[in-house]
Amino acid sequence: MSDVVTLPPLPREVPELVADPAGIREYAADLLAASTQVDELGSFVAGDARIPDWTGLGATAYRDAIKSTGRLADAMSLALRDVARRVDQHAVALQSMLDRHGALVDERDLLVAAIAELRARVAGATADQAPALQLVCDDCAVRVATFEIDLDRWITDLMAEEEAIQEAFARALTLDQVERRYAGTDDPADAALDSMPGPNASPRDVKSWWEALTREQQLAVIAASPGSIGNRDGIPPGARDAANTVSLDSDLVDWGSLEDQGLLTDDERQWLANARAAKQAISTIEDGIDPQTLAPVCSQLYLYDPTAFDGDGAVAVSAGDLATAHDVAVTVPGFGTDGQSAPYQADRALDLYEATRSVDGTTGVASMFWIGYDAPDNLPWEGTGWDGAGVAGEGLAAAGGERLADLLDGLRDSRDGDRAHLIAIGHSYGSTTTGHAAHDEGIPVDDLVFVGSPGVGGDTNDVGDTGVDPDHVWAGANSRDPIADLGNHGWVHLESVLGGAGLGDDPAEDDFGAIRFEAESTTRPGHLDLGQHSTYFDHGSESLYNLSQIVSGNYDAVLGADPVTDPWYAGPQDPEWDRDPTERDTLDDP
Amino acid sequence: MRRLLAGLAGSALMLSVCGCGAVGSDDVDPDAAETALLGQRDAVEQTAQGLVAATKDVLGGGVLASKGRWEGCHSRFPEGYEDFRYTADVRLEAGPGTPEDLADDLREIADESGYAVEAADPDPDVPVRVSDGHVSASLADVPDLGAEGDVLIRLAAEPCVPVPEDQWSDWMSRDDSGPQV
Amino acid sequence: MAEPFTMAVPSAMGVTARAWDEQHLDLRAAGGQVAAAPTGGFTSGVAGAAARFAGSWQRHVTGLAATAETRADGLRTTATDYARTDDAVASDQLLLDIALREDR
Repeated sequence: MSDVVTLPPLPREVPELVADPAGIREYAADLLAASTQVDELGSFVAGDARIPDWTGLGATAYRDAIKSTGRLADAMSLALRDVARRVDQHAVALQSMLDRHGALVDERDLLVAAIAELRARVAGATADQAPALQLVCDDCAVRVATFEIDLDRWITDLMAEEEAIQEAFARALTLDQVERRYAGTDDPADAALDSMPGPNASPRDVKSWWEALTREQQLAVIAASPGSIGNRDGIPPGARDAANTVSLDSDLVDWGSLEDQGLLTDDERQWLANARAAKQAISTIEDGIDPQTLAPVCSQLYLYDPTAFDGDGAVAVSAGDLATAHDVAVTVPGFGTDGQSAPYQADRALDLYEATRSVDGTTGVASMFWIGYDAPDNLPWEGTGWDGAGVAGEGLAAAGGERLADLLDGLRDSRDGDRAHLIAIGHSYGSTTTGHAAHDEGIPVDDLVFVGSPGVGGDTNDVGDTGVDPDHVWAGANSRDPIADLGNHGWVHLESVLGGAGLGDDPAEDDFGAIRFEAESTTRPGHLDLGQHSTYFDHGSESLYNLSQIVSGNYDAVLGADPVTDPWYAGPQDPEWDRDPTERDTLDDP
Repeated sequence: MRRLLAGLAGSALMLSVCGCGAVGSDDVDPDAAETALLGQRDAVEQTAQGLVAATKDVLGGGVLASKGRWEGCHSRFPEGYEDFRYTADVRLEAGPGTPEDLADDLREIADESGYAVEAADPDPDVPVRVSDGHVSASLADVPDLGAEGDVLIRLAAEPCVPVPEDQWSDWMSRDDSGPQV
Repeated sequence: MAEPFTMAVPSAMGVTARAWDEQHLDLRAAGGQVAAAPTGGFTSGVAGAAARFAGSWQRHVTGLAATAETRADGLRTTATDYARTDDAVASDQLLLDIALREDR
């Protein structure tokens, strides 16, 4: 009967929310208590500290000196109080988010149960019962759609609130900022920032705001409050790079000096390591040489947040100019990636840049690696054994997908001039994230590529679910790569074996419908080997060759490969297993 | 049947991920690796000096910039490189009165350097290649597209040297001033 | 004609120096309180920024505390010099010493 009655779709999972409003209020209380103490200093300076009977040059010098201390104390106290107030509001907002979260989870549970029941009814129904059943299913589908909208709204509100509180912290972080803002001096940055659109604004609105500022205001914002715009979607890439570079350089100096004095906390030590990794990623790219012009490759620090994700760090650097390049590739890495992966990822991004620029007729290219989501820390393979319990589920990928979708929207909307040819490349767990971004949010890419994918998300069963033109969905899988082997294989669903560890369907399989390309390596052994999982961007490899053709839009030159099949009688079959791998010329030069 | 096959799939996976892996496992001698990689740097510097001297001889002018680093060759799981080689590039500007097209001059520089010159490629845009023992180099005419300089010499040492697993990031981030030319 | 020397100003300096000492101690404690502000209640996306803010502000407040301490020490030195430039009798000096004793 299921081919006559259409069942309603399953509602998405509600992402986890871990927060403690009481704890947040405690933090605010501590700030407020400190602000009171600082305020007392200000009052003391204005009153009892003055020693009115003391006259002469010494007295004047003393009173002048303490006056500036008093001014600073007043400004600091105001700043701390403002932030404490905002943190209190944040506690309230999060309580509301938690309440809404509970309601969403309850609603989803009801819907899932209802759909299961409907499935059973449909299975046992007769033909004349079908129309009535369909009506019930349709009603349920409407409820699911409403739930999805509510969930979207909740996610957006949560992300907006997180951005807003981060902005509040960022604007009162240094004494410079505090003095400028609270001690009464006019600063072009303040007026500009006060008119900045709130966190819920679209990238287009943010771009309009930025472009309406005077050059002086823009420079002032970059210098005085780079954290406010450096990672904001809608701000043009050049400005983001300028702002993030200011933040990075000042972090290196500040934490570096604390390091010299032996005063770093453990947290700060990690943040400093993330900052250094970002710096190194930039120099790695700038050491590269463009194959066409022989000029050094330019870099852009598009995302920089060394404290993100509990200190794992977020960073994205582009080889090439994101604002003007015609072909723009965003690569999303996977397991174990964090801020300190930046230099290695920069090398891969540079390799892709060089290979793409080596393709005849290619114009401007930008190849960016994006470490902008919380990737799973632990690897599913510990030593020589499979660690089913340690495998990340799809939760981190789903959360990451939201961020990736925002990034890609922002990149599109922040550019002027010709529309870019935008390509998203997901590697490893990054492909699960990219799959989620495509399915859950929709992404404005022209080409979608999965390499070494353990699965592209449980709800994405074929190219039709990605929202991207099926002729532009690609998959590369090295036959010896055990991670690429993990995707659900037809009727053998590994998730039921490995305690829910499955990450979705294998995009290299025929059922999925993606265009598979050759991705074997001449270093491959005769058996599955983890080392093969990292070969997709190596110079000289089939995979990098094909990636470079896709990125430059040279689709006819892509070397196709037959997909993996999964007949019921024999288990997954990979025709690439027996083909002899080749070396490809990916670099137009030495 | 399904459960049996699934179980087999699981255990097959377990067996295979214990795979031998490629070059550069934990039993690599760190001292040998360092000696080899630093030796590569010296060899590249020597070759660079020879080529720079020949270039100055034929074209005049001088060095604008010199950079070097150890480049990863083959990736390892989950991230990093298991082997490295030293590479460098030297950018020179030619003296006044140099022609636009340097193809012939580059050939002359290669011949004068005394290193083994590869057979000429009919395509004039392909750089001139030489090799000196384990160092290979290319000399390219910098196109008039905004990049600084007139000649770019790029050098690379062979072979790739395996490094111990816990040192890959040290070699990636190791600072180098580039060949002294 | 020189003004007759009184202990009023140096003694006021002493009192004020002790008041600066108190400010110094209170601010140091406040800095410690900020450093210990718990970040565990924030979501993981925000905890890092909250920790960074607290760390920076611990330094700002402690810096203010150090300024207060410097003021205190400076005043004590000035008071001593101030008294020595005039003809002070021993008993006055004793009073001065009492007035300038540091409160730690």
